[in-house]
Amino acid sequence: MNPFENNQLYNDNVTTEAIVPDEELYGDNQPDVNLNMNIDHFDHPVEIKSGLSSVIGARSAQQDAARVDNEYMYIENNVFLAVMCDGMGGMSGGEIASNLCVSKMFEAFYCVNVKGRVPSFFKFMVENIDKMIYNLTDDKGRPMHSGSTLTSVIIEGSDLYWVSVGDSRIFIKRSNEMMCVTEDHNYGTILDKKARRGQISREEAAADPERAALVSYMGIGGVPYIDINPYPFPLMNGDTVLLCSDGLYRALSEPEMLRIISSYDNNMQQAAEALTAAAIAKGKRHQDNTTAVLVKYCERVNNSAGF
Amino acid sequence: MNLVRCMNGHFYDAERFSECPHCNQTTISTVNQGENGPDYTLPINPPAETGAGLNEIVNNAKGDEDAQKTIGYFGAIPSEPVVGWLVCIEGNHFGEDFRLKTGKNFIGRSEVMDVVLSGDSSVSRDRHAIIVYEPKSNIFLVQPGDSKELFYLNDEVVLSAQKIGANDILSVGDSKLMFIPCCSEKFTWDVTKKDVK
Repeated sequence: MNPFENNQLYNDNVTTEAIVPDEELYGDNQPDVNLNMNIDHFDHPVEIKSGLSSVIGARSAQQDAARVDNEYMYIENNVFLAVMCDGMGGMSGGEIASNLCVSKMFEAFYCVNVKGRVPSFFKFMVENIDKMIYNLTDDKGRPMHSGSTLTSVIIEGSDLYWVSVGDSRIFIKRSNEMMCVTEDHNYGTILDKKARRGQISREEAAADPERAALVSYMGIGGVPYIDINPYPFPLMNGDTVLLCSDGLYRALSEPEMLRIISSYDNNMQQAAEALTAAAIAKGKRHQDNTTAVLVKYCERVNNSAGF
Repeated sequence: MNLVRCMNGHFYDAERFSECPHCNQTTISTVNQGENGPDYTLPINPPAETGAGLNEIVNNAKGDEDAQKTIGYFGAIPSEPVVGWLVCIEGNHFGEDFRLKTGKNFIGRSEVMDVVLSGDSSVSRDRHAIIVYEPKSNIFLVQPGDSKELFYLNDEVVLSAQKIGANDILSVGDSKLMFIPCCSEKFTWDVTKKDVK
């Protein structure tokens, strides 16, 4: 079900061009990265287990889009990509925006070598995909005013990098601890910071009707806020990354998500489906599109029987 | 790199792939990665081993404001424009500046403080001292935090809220911090001029 099949919905010369970082980009902009990668990990073959589940909920269309790299690709190249996007905008604008984000990310990922320069890759892709979505027009040439959140992770060897624009979230689960590594780019976050500084009361901040309004998203035309980690996050065996849209985290608490993921320890696909099912089961009448992408980093023992 | 386009319109590098990697992917829907037979994975290491909590490791990966500026993108959402600075003129953070915002700025050793003196072990983790910018009267104040530790303004102990002015020196633990205001009688931030997208 490819929204791009209907050629009337988008502007041909905008979306069919390739967004690919060129070699010049990776010049001297790199931060002084501490390449303290744990050498031990390279003795253990690595396996990435992933799962993806996306459900419509009570809405009339699915505006979330997501995709994970093939396990075969990771073994070949030692670099893995997962992307999850939550689209917004009237008509099919949101669907187009989110699918565009996902496909352009993968397209570029397969065209360049991102090793050693993942944060720059993320930044380049965010800026250019944002521009592309901003320039989308409908079949009558009118701007579509659509947008999408973007969450993505790249695993290079045993290092994790993430990027987020918007209010979808990325969590890292290690053993029985789970932590959200992203900030919601919505007005609510700004209000909460004001409350923390004593400028407004916590009640005022919580009650503001515009809390959920996004202040940064793909398609805004110049992304003001991006969450990227300039330094690698060193993964340990068993670490699991969750990328999810707000439909999931508004329905389920962190302990609930943690419990569900832990109970499907090795089957990430079942865990992802269980997460979205639990969110739907909460039975909210206006349940949003709900998407969960799970990525589990596993190191295998190299025994004599092979693996 | 040899960028080519497949029959379905996908771009890929023909030097790395003999056929289009997008066409052979399962499309955007539930992707079944599933189980792969007997599992030889290692037991999960207990996180306590390294001594560093998950929180700290994530914060190391995020780096500080300077690291984020090197890449040249906007990091976390800033809450307000800068109203002043504390500059360390003595101690482990010698030469470092700390940005102050409207309202309360908590000074302490922990990473979640507003002014983080992580290298000074004689500074309390949480709220050793508080420096406040009050926008309505356009004044700066210092006051003690929750900790039992003392701190000093120009060598006099601070036990209640006191006004602070340009070049005053705060002694917190083993560190000395000089206060440099941005807002003063000559300048304040006019909120209506803010560039809102």
